[in-house]
Amino acid sequence: MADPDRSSGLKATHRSESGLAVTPPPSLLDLLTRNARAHGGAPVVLGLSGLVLVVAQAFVLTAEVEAAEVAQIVAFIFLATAYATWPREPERGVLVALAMLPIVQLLSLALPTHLVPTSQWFVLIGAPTYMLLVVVAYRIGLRPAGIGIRITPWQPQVRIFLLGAALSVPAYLILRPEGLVADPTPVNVLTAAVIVAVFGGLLEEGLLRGVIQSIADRSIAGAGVAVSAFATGLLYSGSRDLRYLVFAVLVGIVFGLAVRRTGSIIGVAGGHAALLVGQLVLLPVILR
Amino acid sequence: MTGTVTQVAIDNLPGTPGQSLVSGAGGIVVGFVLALIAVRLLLVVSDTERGRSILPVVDPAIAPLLVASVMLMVGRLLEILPIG
Repeated sequence: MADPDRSSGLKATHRSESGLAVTPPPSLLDLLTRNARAHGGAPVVLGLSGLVLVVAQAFVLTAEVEAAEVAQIVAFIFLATAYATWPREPERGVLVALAMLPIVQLLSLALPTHLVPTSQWFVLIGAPTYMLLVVVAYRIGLRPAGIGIRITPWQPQVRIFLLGAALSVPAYLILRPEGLVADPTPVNVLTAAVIVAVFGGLLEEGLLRGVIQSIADRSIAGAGVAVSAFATGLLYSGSRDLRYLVFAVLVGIVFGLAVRRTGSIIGVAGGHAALLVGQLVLLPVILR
Repeated sequence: MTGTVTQVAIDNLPGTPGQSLVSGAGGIVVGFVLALIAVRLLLVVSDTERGRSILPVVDPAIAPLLVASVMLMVGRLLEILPIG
C-alpha cells in the first residue's frame, strides 16, 4: 500500500468545486530536492546546505543580533527540512551535524551578558553546547570511541598537544586579544585557564572533530576533514578578522588530519585547549 | 576569540541594563524553543513516518535551547531586580 506521507504533493491532484483538476504547488525544497536527485544528488544538497549556513553567518557578521538569530533559525529549519526530505541515509547524517551549527550560533548570540565577566561566557555558552553534543551523539548512535575518545599511543598525542601550545603564539600575535583576567592573581589565572580549556578547547574539539568530523566521515568517505574545517571557519568567522579566520581553518585542517591519522581526539583536544589558554589567558598576562 | 565566545557577541553586547531589557535577542530564542517543543509534540501526535524522521534533528536542538532559555530568564530577572 502506498504511503501517503511519501507523496511530494505534486501528484496529489483533486477536483475543485468547478470540476477543474487542481494541483497544489510543490514546495521550494521539494523542487530543489528533486532537482538535486536529477543532477547527482548529495553534492548539490550538501553544497546548498553549506551555502545557507554561509548566508546565515553573513547576517551574524553584518546585521543586528535579532536579524542574525532569525537567519540562524531559518538555516536550522532548512537543514531539518532537508534532512526529512533527503532519502539517502549516509548523507543525511551530515545534515544533522551541520544543523548543530545554527544552534551553537544562537547560543553564542543570545547568552553573553554584562552581568558576568567575559571569561564566564565560556561556561554560559559551553554548558548547553556540551548538552547539544551529547544529545546529538546519542541520537546518531555515536559511542565515546566513535567520537574519538580512546587511548592510543601517547607519543603522537603529546606532539599534537605541543603543536597546539606553540600555535598559541601566532594566534595571539594575529588577534592581540584583551586578557580575560583583569586581576592576574595565580588563582584568577588558574580559574580562567581551566574554564577556557574545558569550555573552549575541549568542547570545540568534541564538537568539530569529535561529532561533526566523525558523522561526516561515516556519511561521506573522506569528507570529514573538509566538513569539520568548514564548520571551524564558520564558527571562527565571528572573530571578524580574516587573517585569524584563515589561521583557524588551517589549524582545523591540521587537527582534522591528526584525528584521522591517530584515531583519537585526546591530543587535539589538549592542543586546542593549550592554544586557547596560551592565547587568551597566559600571553596577555605575560606580555601586558 | 573562539568559536563560541566571539568578537561579534562582544561588539553587540548591550551597554546598559535598559538596553539589554529592550533587546529581543533572548525573546527570539525562547520563542524558538517553545515553537520547537510544539512542533515536536505535533510530530509525535501525527505518528507519521516522515514526522518521526525529523526527530533526530529537532530533539538535540530542544535540550540546549531550553537550558539557554532558563539562563536568559534568570539573567533578565537579575537585570530587572536592581531597577525595581
